[in-house]
Amino acid sequence: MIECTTTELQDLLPDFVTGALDDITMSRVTSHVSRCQACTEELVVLRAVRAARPRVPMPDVQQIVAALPTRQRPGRGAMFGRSAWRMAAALGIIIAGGASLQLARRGLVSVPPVPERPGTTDGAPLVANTPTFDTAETVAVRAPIGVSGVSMSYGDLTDLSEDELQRMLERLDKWDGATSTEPLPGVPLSVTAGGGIL
Amino acid sequence: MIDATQQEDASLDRALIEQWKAGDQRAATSIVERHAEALARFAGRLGVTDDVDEVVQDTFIRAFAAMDSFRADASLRTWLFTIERRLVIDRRRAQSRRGHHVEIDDAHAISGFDALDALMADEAAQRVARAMARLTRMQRDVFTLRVQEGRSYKEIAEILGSTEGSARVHYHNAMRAVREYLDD
Repeated sequence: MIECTTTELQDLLPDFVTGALDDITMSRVTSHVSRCQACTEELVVLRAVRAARPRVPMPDVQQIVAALPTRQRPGRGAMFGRSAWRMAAALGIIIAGGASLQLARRGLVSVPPVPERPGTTDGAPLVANTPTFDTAETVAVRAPIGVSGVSMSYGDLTDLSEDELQRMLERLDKWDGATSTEPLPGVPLSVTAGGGIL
Repeated sequence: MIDATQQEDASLDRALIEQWKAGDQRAATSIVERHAEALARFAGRLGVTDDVDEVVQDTFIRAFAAMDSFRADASLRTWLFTIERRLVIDRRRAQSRRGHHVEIDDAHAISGFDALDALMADEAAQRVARAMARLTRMQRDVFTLRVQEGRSYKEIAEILGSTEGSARVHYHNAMRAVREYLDD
C-alpha cells in the first residue's frame, strides 16, 4: 500500500468529500490528489463510505416539538420578578448596616437637655442619663439655660483640680456596690471649672 | 481553511437558539428539522434498533432542558450527538439493571449496524457496511463520524469522551482496514 507523505492534505480528504472546505483549500487538495496515488485510492474509499450513509426514516418532528419544554417569552413580569426583589432587599440590608456602622464609629451620644434642678449651688445641675465613662471623646452638650458658653465633657480627669478629684472619690465611695454598667439615677453632676462634669 | 458551510450552519443554529430562548417555538421546530435525521442515523450506529424515534425525542428533550448550558462556540450537532450517546449508554445500563440481557460490547453494535443493511439499496453500499462491521466499535464510531457526518477530530473526541490524538489513530486504522477489505 502506497503511503502519502503530505499528511496535512491527506487529513483533509474527509472534509473534501463532504464539501466542507473553502475554495482555496479545495483547489490545493484537488491538485495534490491528482499527483498522489495513495490519496486517489483513499478518496475512492471515502466516497464509497459516504455514499453508503444509511437512509433512516425522518423522525416525527411535530411529535418531538410537542414534547419539548416550552420557553416563556421574557416580559415585564420577568424583569421585575424575584431577582429584582432580592436585589432590593439586599440593597436595604446594606444601607441599614452601613448606617449602623457609621453611627457606631462616630460614637455620638445624644444627651437631651437637662432640666434645671432647684437647690443646687453652681446653677447648672445635670443628671447623667447615659454612662459614658468608656469614651475619651468630648461630647458637646447643649448648655442648660443660664450657663451658655460653658462646654462640658465626660471622663476627662486631667481637667480636675485636686479638690475636685477628692470630692469625686468621696462620692464614688458612697456609690460602692452599684454595677459599673448601669446608669446611676438621681446622682447629680456638676460642671467643673475646666468644663468637666462632676 | 475548513468549514465555510459548517460555520454558516453553526451561526444559523445559534440564531435559532436565541430565537427559541426569546420565546419563539417555531425556532424549536427548525432546530429539530435540521438535526433529527442525523440523530436517527447516529442512534442506528450506536446499536439502537427498535426505538430510534424515542431516543431522538429524548435527546432533544434533554438538550432543550439544558440549552442554557450550551456553549455558543460549540457545534450544536456535536453537542446533540454527545447527549444521544450518553442517553443510549444510560438506557442500556437501566435495561441491564432490570434484568434484560443487553449486550453493550462490540457484538451488539455490529448487529445494530447490520440491521441498517436492509436500508442500503445497492451491493456496493452493503459491501462497505460489511467492511465497517469488521472494525472495532471505537474505530467504527470515529470513522463514521469523520466520513459520514463530517465531524472534526476535536468534535469526535468530545462526542466519544476521548482525545483528538486517539480519534486520529482510530480513524487511520479504520481506513487501512476498510481499504484492505474492499481491495480483496
